[in-house]
Amino acid sequence: MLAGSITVWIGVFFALASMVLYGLSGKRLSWLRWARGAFVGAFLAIVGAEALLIYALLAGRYDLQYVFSFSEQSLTPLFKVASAWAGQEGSFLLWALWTGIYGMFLMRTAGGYERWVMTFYSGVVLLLMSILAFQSPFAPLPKPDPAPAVWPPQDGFGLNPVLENPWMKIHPPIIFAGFAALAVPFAYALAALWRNEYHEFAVRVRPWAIYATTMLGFGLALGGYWAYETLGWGGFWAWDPVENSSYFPWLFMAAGLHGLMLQINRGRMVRWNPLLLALPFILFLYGTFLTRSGALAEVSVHSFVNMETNALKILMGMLVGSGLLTLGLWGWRYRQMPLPARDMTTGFSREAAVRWGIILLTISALISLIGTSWPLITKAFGKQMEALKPEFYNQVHIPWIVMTAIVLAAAPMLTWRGMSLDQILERLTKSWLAAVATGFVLFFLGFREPITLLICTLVAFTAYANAGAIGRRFRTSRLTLGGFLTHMGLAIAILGLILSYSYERKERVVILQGQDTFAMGYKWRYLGMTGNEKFPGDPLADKFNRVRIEIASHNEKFIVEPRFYQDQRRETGNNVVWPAIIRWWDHDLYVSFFAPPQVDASPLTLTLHEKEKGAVDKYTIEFLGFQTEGAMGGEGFRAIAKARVSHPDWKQPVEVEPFRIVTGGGVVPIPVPLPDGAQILVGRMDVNRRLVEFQLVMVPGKPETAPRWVIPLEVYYKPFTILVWLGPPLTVLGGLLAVVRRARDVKYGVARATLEPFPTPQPKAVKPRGRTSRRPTKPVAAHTAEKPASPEV
Amino acid sequence: MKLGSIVALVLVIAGIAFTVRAFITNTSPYVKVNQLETRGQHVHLPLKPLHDTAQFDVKTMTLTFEGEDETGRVKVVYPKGKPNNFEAATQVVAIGSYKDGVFYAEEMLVKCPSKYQGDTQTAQR
Repeated sequence: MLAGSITVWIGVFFALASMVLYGLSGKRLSWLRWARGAFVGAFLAIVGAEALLIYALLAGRYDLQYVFSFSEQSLTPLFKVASAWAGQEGSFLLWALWTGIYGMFLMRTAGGYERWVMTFYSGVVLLLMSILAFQSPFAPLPKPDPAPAVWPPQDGFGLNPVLENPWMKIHPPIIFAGFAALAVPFAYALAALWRNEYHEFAVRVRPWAIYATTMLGFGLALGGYWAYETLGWGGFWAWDPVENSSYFPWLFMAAGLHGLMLQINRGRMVRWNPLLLALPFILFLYGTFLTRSGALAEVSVHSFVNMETNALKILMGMLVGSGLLTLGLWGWRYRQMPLPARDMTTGFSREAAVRWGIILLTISALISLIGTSWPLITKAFGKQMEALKPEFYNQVHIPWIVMTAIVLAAAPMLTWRGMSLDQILERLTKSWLAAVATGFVLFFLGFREPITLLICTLVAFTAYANAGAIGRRFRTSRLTLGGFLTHMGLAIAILGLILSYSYERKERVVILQGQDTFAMGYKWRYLGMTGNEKFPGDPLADKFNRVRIEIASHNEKFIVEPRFYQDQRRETGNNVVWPAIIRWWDHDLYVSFFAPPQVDASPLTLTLHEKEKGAVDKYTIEFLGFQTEGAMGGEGFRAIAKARVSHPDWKQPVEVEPFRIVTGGGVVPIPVPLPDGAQILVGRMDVNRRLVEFQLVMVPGKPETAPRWVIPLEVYYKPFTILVWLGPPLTVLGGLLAVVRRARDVKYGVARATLEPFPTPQPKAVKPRGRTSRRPTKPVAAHTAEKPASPEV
Repeated sequence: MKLGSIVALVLVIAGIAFTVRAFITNTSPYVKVNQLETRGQHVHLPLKPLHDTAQFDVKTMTLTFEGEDETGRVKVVYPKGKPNNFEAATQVVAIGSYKDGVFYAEEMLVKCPSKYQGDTQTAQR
């Protein structure tokens, strides 16, 4: 689609113009207006490109490679829209779209920082648009040679059925909202280093840092739910490289926002913050590179298409360039940066707690970063490539989670100035008692493994301590609840993840059709498949096939319907599993498959050439001839093998025409009944050599020939998954509250930062460059918002 | 504060020791078939499966097949059912240990010559 490609190129042009004009607007102020106009132009181009792509998907423009590959007519309109991010090109466009939207806000709110921030930010937009220009979602579908009769194709290849579920509609937009938001702190950090100004910067960037952390966390949580609900391996998180590459930027961003907290309230971390805030974006680029370049192809179970060469080069350039630029600027400015304030706290203080929080977040992020890169590191050092098992990440987080739990429990009780051990212990007594009580309850419920029990008790401690803080503040200052709510939600979610994983019970239940199986305290029975009505013979070809299973115990009985579908349109024969989950308040029963349902039968077989006659058991079969109906290979095409079958018990031989038919779900043999109740069907066939394998099933007196389903189920008992669903919404709510609070603070904060920049000794040698604030702000006395969150009174 | 620092230091050192231990016990090298005799325990083994040797027992859900790389051939036993898309696989990575001429896989990653993406780039797998 030409209009699409042109729109993308217009976006490239405007982003470039915006970057250049913003960069030069220091000399000529009037250029600022042009620069803004150019950015609006780039934004409109991105919106236009997204709109065109969605239009192409809805209108069924199957002459486009992207639309052909990821959409089809039978999708509902909402899923057609969702295919806009099913592929690589589309997800880059989604990334660009969010980046553009944030840019429009950033432009208006950056104040004196506008010129610098927007220069770097437009650069990001420029590179994203250039990637899209080379790897365009509007590229035409290449015409195969020889050209087919109908061109362009009337229908698409379709959305991968793994993606065709409600989570596809919300998870990618949210997680890309998080990814794209990382660019704002990145641009701010570079701008601050460039201007050599760190006070206004910290205040301005804070709401963005909190927002990015919140949205990324939200996206990660949604990804976990998606995995649990639909992928069928019984967990929320698998430490796959693809997951990790959004996990470590998230942790670094969280570390960065806590660093800002220390800077604004205590004048600490001034030198490290720009680096910490720029890092997540760079690491996200690195993660994108890892998962898109094929570098981890052998390690990840995700199979990704590699990027188009030029687009990949731009991505790598972006990665290396942003990394070098950040490190270079930071190294250059390091000696000129204001010194951190001297330690002004004694005893246990909130400052110490936050500092520990940053250290722990950084350690955890580094572990995941190194772990994910390990195959590349070993390869780069010329050693044998090594991979880390997912179990590594679970083990390695044990000690750090213990420490984090303690820090997070203590933090809300501490004051910035510090307090004695006795005071803290006094304040923490109630939550600690509640946590110990929870530990005992868990112990008596049967959760006895000591280390896990200890961790659970500690994490519960965190949750209670934060809940207490929320309770005390709820009446007085609701807007300050954000942090506590976030930490409580995290504690609850972690508790749920640990309990549901460590104490899960997993069993393989193989059910034979017509036979009861006993497992996990239940009686299991196979009832049938719903796909049978649409695709007799091969119900697995039905996209909405559900396997009906009855589960019964002495006092309850229910039917579960996990889905299983074999997508035979794809050469890979993609299996799609959708587990059935039965929820109680305290546990889930999770029913999935560990292998495709199989038909178990040993039919009598006989392979014959055309006109040949042969005998099997007491049957004699004569292969009379081949016949075909319908367009060769098209849907509805039948390959019929005429045969005459005789048996000593029958009065006369019968002539039958079993056939194989091409359906939407693949080639299906259609059986034909014989007089004695047996059925004959066509097995393998070789059309060129006129060779057919006949199969006889349901032969009387031979039970092994009756096909019956073998249903290989994997069943999980997972306790307290409810906590995993409870925690993240609280965290997101808390994060958004904090965003609102800190965004309101900006005006006062900037004024205050210009009046009395933090409790920090400024080195005399350095003069801040550039203007501090373009828009004159009224000096406001530092009371209301910037007052450090008052400690417990 | 003294006491606090010491406790914190001890915790961090213990944490680092634990991390290193977890790191060492959980790394798993990629090996070739001819290295299995010498270092065949807990390894990743990339193989090209020879599909005509594949056998699947539906009752025990055990898949056995032979696979090869440029250094040799080995028999693989995988007791967890036939992985999705096995028939179309051009390359598998068997994760497990080698014993008496047979590679017992605990996990298996299957790579397909797919032209199409299996997932979004997000956490989804």
